[in-house]
Amino acid sequence: MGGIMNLSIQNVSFSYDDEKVIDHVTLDFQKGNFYSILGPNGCGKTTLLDILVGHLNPNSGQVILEDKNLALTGRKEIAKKIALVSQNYNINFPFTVKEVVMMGRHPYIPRFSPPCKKDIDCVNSVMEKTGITRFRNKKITELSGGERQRCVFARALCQDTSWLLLDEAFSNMDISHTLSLLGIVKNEIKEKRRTVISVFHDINLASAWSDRLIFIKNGRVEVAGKADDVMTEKTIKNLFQVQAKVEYNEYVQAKQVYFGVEMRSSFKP
Amino acid sequence: MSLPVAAISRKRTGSLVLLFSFVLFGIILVSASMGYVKIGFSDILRIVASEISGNATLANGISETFRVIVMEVRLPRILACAAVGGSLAVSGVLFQGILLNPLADPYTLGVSAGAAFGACIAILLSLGAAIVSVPLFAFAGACLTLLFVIYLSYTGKNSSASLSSNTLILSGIIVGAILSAGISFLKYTADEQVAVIIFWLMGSFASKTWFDVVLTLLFLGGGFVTAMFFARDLNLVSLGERSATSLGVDTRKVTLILLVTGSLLAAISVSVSGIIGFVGLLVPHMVRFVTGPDNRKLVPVSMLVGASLLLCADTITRAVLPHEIPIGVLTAIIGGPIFCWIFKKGHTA
Repeated sequence: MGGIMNLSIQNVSFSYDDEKVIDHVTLDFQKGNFYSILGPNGCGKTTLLDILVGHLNPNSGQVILEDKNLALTGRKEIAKKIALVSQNYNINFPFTVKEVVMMGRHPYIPRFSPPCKKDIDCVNSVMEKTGITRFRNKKITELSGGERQRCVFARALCQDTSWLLLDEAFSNMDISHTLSLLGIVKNEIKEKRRTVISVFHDINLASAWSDRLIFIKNGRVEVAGKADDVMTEKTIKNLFQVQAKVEYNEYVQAKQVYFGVEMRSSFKP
Repeated sequence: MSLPVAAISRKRTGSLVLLFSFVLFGIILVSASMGYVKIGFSDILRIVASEISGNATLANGISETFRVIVMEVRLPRILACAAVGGSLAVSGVLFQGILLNPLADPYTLGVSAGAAFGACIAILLSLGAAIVSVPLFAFAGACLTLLFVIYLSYTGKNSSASLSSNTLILSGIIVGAILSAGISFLKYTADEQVAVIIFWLMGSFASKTWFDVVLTLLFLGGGFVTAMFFARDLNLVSLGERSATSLGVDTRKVTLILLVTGSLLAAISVSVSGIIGFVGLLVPHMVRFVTGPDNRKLVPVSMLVGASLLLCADTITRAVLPHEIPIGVLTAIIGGPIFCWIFKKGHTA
């Protein structure tokens, strides 16, 4: 299963202490696609990304990165192939924005060497692209949450990887920056055949932008596939216990979900 | 366009290191000349030069007393003090990076309490040649404490949290609290010895020997090389474990190595001179204003500044004040208010 250049997880389980978070999940990610992972809080989305990037080792099953077992691949090797934009942006040390973005080149710069021209060009062009050039000399600790998030996003782009994992990377951003970064992501997928695997909370954004949706519940893949096929009222109800209306939207050119006002009172945790 | 900027920043680090090396050298010279007997700079330089070259004619005309004062009394104390200052500062940089917290210091993980406990036991058992056994027990106490803290932080099944900054800080605080209670108990049972214990705990560089100097410098050399080797990795680690791992750093390995390095530096410092606070906390904090948080610049500059500042403090207590007061007390008296000021300024800025 899985082509040579794919990222796949095979029958993976993971538990924190006695609590099973990921339960026999098998997924195959193919190059050049935008995958979105959706599911209620605590369903194991972030853990799944941590396993994909090798930060956590599964209790059973394995992750295969481009035909190699991830557990047997060196950290630097992985960092040249997979980048992660994680949820945690608490940075306690006053590095400048430029320094933070340059850290994305870490796996490419040999110890004790200064960054070469290619590294510097990469950092400059990514900062330009993500619109953070104007505060490149500012301290990251002085930026707003959304600006900080964009810097961390730029750092991941600088890693120049074929796999880009986003863990709610747009949660602190206004809609204009969200759309502009999604545009960049889409462009990277088209031009560089990168693959994006993103955890989303906004179902409508996920549906509009991604090629495949993966719905997760209680550590298991509930359903996965194209938005047209898998995004249904039944799925939403099953995952989030809310009534919703799902229909194709001409303007967005994708399926969108709507929640009624009276549904708030029917919430039963 | 940015390439020259990077080059300039490298050059700038180089000149900072050079500048602070000169400052340190100057302070050593001034300190060696000060004291009950004033000795001129040129005399000191000539004495040292003649000792190093073995050419006695260089020191012609300088009294033998001066030679003994400089070579056997002042220089060992001065160099031991500078080496301890450097060690504490580097250790502070490492701990602040590992614990993702600019307010951590070499003693956060209870290393000092461990050393103090070891020293108390040695003093209580009055193990004859205190010159050897007290530092040895202190060092052992510090190392055992570190091992236990690391053991506590490896929280069994849940591998993801092991050695994370929160687990480490919590383990350190718990172990430190237990050891402090132990120290109090030992003091309580110590009777007349209690004065010795208290005096030792407050720190002093009096009657340090060349053996202390060489030993501390060896540790400092090893610690400095290790710190510089992993300095860039530490930059990434200081931004959080997940980011560091995804950027290609073997976070757990780097954390463990630097943790041991920082603790050994703290342990050797405490065993040579007792507990000296604020150097490890304050120096990296102040230097960061000048160099920024990049550990490749922070480590060498902090080492030099730490050595200079502690030496200034020791010279004040040795040669300026009418009575020598414990160096640990002096650093706290000077360092505390400075820290309050920095802290307040940092918050309003």
